[in-house]
Amino acid sequence: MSPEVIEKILKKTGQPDLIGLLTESLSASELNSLLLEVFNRSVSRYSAPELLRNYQLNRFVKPVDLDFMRFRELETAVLNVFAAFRFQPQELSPVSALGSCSVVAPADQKKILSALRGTEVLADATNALALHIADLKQTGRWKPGDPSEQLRLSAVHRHVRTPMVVHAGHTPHFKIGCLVSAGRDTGDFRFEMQSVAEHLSVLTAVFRDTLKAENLRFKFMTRGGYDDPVRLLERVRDHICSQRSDVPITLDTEPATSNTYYKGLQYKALITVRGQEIEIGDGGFVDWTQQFLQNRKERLMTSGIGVEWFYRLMNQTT
Amino acid sequence: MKSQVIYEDEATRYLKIAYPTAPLRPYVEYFFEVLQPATLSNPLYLTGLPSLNGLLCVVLNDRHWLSFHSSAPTVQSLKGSRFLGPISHLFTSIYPEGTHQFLVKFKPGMMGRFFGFPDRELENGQVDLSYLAPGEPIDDLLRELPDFQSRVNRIEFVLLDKLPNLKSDYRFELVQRALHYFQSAPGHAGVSDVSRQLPVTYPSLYRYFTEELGYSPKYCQRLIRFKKAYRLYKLHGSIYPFEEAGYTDFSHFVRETRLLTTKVPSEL
Repeated sequence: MSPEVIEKILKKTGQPDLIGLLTESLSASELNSLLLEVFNRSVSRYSAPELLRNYQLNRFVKPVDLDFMRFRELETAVLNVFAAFRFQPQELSPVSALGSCSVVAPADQKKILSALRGTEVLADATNALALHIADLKQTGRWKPGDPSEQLRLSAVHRHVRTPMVVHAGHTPHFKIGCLVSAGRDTGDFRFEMQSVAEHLSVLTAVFRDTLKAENLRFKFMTRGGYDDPVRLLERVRDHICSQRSDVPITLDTEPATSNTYYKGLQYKALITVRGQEIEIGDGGFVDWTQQFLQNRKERLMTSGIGVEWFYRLMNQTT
Repeated sequence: MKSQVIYEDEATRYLKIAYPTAPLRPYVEYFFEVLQPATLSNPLYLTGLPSLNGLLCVVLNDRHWLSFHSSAPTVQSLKGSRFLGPISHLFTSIYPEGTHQFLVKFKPGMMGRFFGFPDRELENGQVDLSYLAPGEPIDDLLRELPDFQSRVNRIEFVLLDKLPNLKSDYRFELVQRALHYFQSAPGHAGVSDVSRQLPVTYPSLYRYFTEELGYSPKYCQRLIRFKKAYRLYKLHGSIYPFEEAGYTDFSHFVRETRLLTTKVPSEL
C-alpha cells in the first residue's frame, strides 16, 4: 500500500495519528482484540451474494488450476526423497508467527498476508522451520549427540505472497519444497561443506533421478556476512567435487552487495526445459537461528525448490 | 549418473558371493551380500539391469532406500526385507546412507516356487517379506548371525527344508530347459533352435513361457543374450567381436541395449 493511500485513509478517519495510536499505545493483544471486533462487525454486514462477489474478486482464495492427484503424486515423490535422505518431513501450520519472515530477514511484511492473533499466512516454510528448530533447541527437546550433529527438516507447503504475479504460470499461492539443516560451527567450514553437499545430493536425487529433469546444474554465488566468502565457496565446491563428479557446479564470485538475504553463500539450481534454462531451486546460509538463539555459533542452511513450478513447466501444452 | 552395476565376477571389498550346494543348484544362482557405506552427501547408486531372476533381499541394517525405474517419474521409498521380482526395465536404487543386504538370486521362476506365489506377479515390483512369507522370520534369523557364511548356511537350511514340497510340472521343466539352452548355447541360438531341440512347437513354448515367467521366449532369449554380451562389453569394450554374442555388430548391441534399458552401454 503506498504512503499516499494510507494518508488518504487516515484523513478520512479524522485521526491522522491512528497508526501510531494502534501500534504504539496498544499492546499486541489489545490491538488483536480491537481488530477482531472490527472484523466481526465488518463481516456481520456481509450478505451471501456479497461474499460470492468478494470471492470472485480475490486472487488469493481460488483453488489451484492443476490436476490435484497427479500433482500429489509428484509431491509424494519429492517427500519420499527428502525422508530417505533423513530430512524429516513436517506438516506445517497454514499460519506462522507474525513477522516470521521480516523480523530476521530483509523481507517486506507488506508482501506477506498478515493475519490476526499474532499470525501471518505462511509465506516461507524455511522461516517456519527455522523457528521450530530454534524452539526445539532452546527448550532442549532436541540436543545433538555430538557437536557436529545436524537437525534436518523438510516440508512441501503452500505459500502465499501478496505481490501481483508478473510471470505467466506464477500464481499468488504455490507449493514449495523446503530443506533446512541446522547445526553449530565446529570450525574449518565443516558444517557448511557437509550441509551444502547434502542439499545438493537431495536436489540431484529429486530433479535428475526422480523427475528426470534435464541438465541439472548448480551455480554458487558469494554473499556478505562471512569473513572470506570466496574461500567458503571454493572450499564447499572442492569438497563436493572431490566426492561427486556428477554434480556440475559453477562459481560466481562477483560480490553482490544488494543481496543480504543469504550469508556467505547462495546457490541456484538450474534445469533445462524445452531448451530453456530455468531456475528451479535456490538456497544458502542464513543467520536466523543465530538471531533467535542469540548465538553466533548457530548455523542454518536452507533450500527451496519450485515443486509446483516444475509441475506446471512439465505439463505446459506448448 | 555415477550409478554402478555390480557383477558377480567383479570382486570388490563390498561384495561377497557364495554358490549353492548341489541340491539347490537347479534353483539358486548364488547368494551374495553387499556391504557398502555411503553418506547423505555422497549416496550409493546401484543399477539393476533387466532380469528374469527373482531376489530375496534381507536388509541387515535399518535404512531407507529409494528405487525408481528408468522412464517413469515415480520413486519408491523402501525399508526392510523384501522379495524383488523380475524386472523388465533398468532400475536404479539410491542408498543415502549405504547398504548392508544379504540376497538370494533365484533362477527364473524359482523364487515363487519356494514361497508359494508366481514370480510373474512381482514383475517390476517388490513386496515385504512378511507379506508373502508370513510366519517365516527369515530376516530375523539372518540378521542375528555374525557373518556372511553363517547366513548362507542358514538360508540353505531354510530352502532345503522346502525342497521336498516344491511343485513342478512338464511345462515348467520345459521352460527351464529352454532358458538353460539360451544361457549355454552360442549367442546366435534363437527361439526356433530351442523349439527344435526340446522339441516343442513355438506356440506351446510361448504359452508355457508367458504362463510361468510372464515373458515371451523371444524376450527371454534377448535378455539373456544382452546380459552375456554386456558382461563381455565390460571386460573388453567395443572391440569385442559382438557377432559371437549373437549380434550383427557392435551397433546392433548398442541399439539392443538402448531398447532394453533406454541407455547406451557406456551409460550403464
